[in-house]
Amino acid sequence: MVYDDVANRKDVSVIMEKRDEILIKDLSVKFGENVVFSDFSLSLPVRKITCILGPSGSGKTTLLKALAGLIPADGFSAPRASFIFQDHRLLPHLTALDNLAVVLDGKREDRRLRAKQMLDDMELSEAADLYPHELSGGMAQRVAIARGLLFDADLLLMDEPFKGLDLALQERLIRYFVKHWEESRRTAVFVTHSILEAILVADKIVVMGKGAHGAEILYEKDFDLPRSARALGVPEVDALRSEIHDLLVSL
Amino acid sequence: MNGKRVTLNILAPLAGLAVFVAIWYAASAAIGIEIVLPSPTDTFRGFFSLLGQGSFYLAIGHTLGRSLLAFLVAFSLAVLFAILGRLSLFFRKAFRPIAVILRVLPTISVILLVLIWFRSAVAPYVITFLVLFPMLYTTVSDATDTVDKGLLEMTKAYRFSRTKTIFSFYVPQMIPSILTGVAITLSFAVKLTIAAEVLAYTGESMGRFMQQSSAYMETSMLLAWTLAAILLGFLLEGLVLCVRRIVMRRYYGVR
Repeated sequence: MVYDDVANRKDVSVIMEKRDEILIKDLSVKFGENVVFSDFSLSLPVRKITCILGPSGSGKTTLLKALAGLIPADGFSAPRASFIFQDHRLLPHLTALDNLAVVLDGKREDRRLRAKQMLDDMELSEAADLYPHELSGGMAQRVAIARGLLFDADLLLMDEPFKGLDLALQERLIRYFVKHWEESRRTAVFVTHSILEAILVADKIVVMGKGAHGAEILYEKDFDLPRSARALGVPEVDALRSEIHDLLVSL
Repeated sequence: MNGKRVTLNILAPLAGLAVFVAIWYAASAAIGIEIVLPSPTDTFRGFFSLLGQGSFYLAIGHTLGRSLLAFLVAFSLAVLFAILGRLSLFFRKAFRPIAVILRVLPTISVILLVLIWFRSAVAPYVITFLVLFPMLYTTVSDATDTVDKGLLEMTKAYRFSRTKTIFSFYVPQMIPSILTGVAITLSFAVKLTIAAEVLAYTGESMGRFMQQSSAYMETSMLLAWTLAAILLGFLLEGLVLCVRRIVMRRYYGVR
């Protein structure tokens, strides 16, 4: 599938999906005089998780927003994408169940049935009738992850979805996420500040930095160690962790 | 209800009212002329005598009907124009000067002009509408501005249709602040309608009775009608706040 109607766009030039990769080619994004991306290219392996690391201001969130079509652009048709934000962004007047159902199309009963199924799968049945302000931070974020996984889209974008949560909860949520992602195996782009988080979930790790002419890729690596074998103390994990750590510290 | 809440919510307002009535008694006794300032007893006696008259309820019904109708038209148009303004920046900018002129226009100018242009039966509707509309437009329009931008971004990411964005996002986000605005504006609508009725000499209205009481120097009856207008305003404001509480509980999970 080729998103060819983006060819004329000035700030996001081409996003193409080939058999095994989604290619972002010559991406250019400017906010006034501030050039965030200039002819930026990146390949995302299809049905795999790409984790993006990098210092603040390197354009990670802007990249996700460009991919989701949230940055205003004429003549650009962004691919349909699920977006899991840093904060839960649940509608406050809807229960958890209806927050999931509202992103679906079709008859209300069918939507609610699918939403309920997803909440059950995510072990969130008890949250179904609760409003966002009645949920704990971790639970609300799990509902938001469930919403992202339920939304019918080939591309899944995540912007530091586990930020600000305690470590034990982060670990549990990552486990939930990976388990459910395995079932659908959508192409996912996961922005994070945590090297360990990236190593635990990624098929490909990318480190972005801010160059003289906008964002640039400083490091790219495919990582195919089975996820079940990834843990601290495993030589490959420790080596990769220290390699990325050294790179980030040097920035 | 614990002791502190009883003190704050019941005793404190009662104490305030008692002080007010005491000052009223004292002032009325000091002046000693009923036409100038009747005592609270005379006023309440007048008020209770009104309760036994059919024309009292008829006048209240008509005044209330006029206020509500003008309010509903003003509110519906304010919502429509605010939504149009949200959908089209051009419309918003084009309508802005009109809204500003209507808002700063002196109420008395509106009343006097409308009295020249319209019959006395119609004037209260027009006056109430013209004064309320810019206020309500500002309330609704501001409510569309203060929606949560993060949530709005979420609706775009999840490809909400325009209809879904309006009914699942904008309307629920705006309703709490709109209902607060409505509660205040609705009692203001009654005050405006009465003022317009007084000046237009509209038949079968609270304004007409108040105007007559003033003309015949029946100050206690004028205050009795004023008391009725105050109670009507309280009732309307209370009703809307009650609706707001039910809506918040039913649709926003505020328990």
